[in-house]
Amino acid sequence: MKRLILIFITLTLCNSAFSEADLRSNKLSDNGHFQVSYMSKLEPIEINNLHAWKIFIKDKDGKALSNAEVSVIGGMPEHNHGLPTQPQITKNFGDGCYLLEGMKFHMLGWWTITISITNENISDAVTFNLKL
Amino acid sequence: MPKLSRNAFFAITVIVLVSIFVSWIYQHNNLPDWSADEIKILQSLSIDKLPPLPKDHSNAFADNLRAAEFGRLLFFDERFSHNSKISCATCHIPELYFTDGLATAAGAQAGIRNSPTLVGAAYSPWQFWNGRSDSQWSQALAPLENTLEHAGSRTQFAHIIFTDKNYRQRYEELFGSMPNLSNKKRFPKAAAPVDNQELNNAWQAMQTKDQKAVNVVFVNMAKSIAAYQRLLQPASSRFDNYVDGIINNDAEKLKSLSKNEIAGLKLFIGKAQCINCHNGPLLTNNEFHNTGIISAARQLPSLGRATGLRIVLTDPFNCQGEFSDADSKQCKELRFVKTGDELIATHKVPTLRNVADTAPYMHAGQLTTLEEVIEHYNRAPLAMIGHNEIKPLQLSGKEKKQLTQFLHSLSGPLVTDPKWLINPHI
Repeated sequence: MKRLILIFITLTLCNSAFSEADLRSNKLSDNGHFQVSYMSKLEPIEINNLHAWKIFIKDKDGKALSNAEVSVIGGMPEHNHGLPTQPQITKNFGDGCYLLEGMKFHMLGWWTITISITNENISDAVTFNLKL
Repeated sequence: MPKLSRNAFFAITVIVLVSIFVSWIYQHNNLPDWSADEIKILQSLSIDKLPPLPKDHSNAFADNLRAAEFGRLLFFDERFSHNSKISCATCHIPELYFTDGLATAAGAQAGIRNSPTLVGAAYSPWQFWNGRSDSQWSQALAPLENTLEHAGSRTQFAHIIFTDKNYRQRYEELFGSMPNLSNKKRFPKAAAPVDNQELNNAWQAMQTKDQKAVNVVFVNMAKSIAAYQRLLQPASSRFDNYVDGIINNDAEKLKSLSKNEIAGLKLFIGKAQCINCHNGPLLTNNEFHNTGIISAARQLPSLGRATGLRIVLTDPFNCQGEFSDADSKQCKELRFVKTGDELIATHKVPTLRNVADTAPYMHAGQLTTLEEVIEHYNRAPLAMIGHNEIKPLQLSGKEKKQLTQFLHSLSGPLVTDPKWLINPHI
């Protein structure tokens, strides 16, 4: 019985890990070092369509960071696989704005995109949720 | 009390009548209870949502109708083989949706791969089961010289075009003057950079500029064949008519599917999870997945995309190669291509358009019927290598039958003018 309750609680927590509140496109990084947001150039985002995003990065005080190192990975937690592509930052527009090319989603459902940032020896990451 | 009973009796009568009326409406219109989200998904699968064919930047002749006409002549021409008996249409038969009905192709020798349909293939960024080509024209080059398929050679093909008055005229109208191939010492009758030692020796003996001249002819042939293949596109099936019926509340179109087929469709987008990979209007995401398919008899397990990726990245005929018409930056699928262990033993997801008419199934035709395919996904066995992405579905016998019945509703004609489907040499 205890095991059943534990499974129930675990499943409930897992389900609550993905809620509507998590769909924000503007977040503070995990350790609070950076304010990060994205804007997809394909709106609404649809599956099987290679497209680009703009990534905006500021420090915790709101100052735009234009020389950050940025890398991106993503996947579907429920399917245990990654993105079908390897997106890369291909342009730095300045003023904390970066072009992320090679974004693609090939299934409907819950996706996560994790953006890792290093700026002046400070590293942090932020994960965005998408529901397609 | 009597008053209350009368009211209760009245209420029950109303409920019963309304129920009968709703049931009659449901049966009359054959309207299932699709939710708004489900209707959105069904619409996303409809042929009406098929976008315009994406431009192939690597092929400047991709949408040239004269190139397509030339390509059709080449596609059906059996002279482009080692014994003048094998054409592209040998394994891609128009009446079979450009497949051959065999487990594995039968060209110059017994092949090791199932011949996939060409209908809608122009939408895929990757060709072959392992995606080892990134365009239809670079794909077309390989079988022409593969010893299991046409087993020909590129100088042989160039000579055919050079000496055939009709072909040469068509070629030169499209691509400009052909190189003068009349000197057989400079341009051997059969030469190609392939495993066959004799052909390879003849090729290596040629001057670099002559090799380049022959490669250009070879590539232009393939670009013409690709222009032809881009015309092979699917039209509406009974499934599409049904979705149209839902959207437009058209009672007649809603009769396009039987109750069992509708139940199968519900499974397709729900419990059976087919839609995870078979999504979009062509019912494929054109990506690579490991679904634990056992290797074909007498074959080692295929590494699939892991091998295909290695080949396409070094292919001189890829989108970023010297024979491509694309600006390197336009080759986005290649620039942002996925690498890594996740690709081991993955194969390309095939379209399910016309699937009931394109058996056998899987990359080596391992499964003969749709029933076997559904049973495979229902059991989800462990993968021989890599990781099987699918999980057991727990479908009942009835559900498996309904799913099979639904898959039969995905067949339909081609939008292509029938004149393109006829062998011009007969």
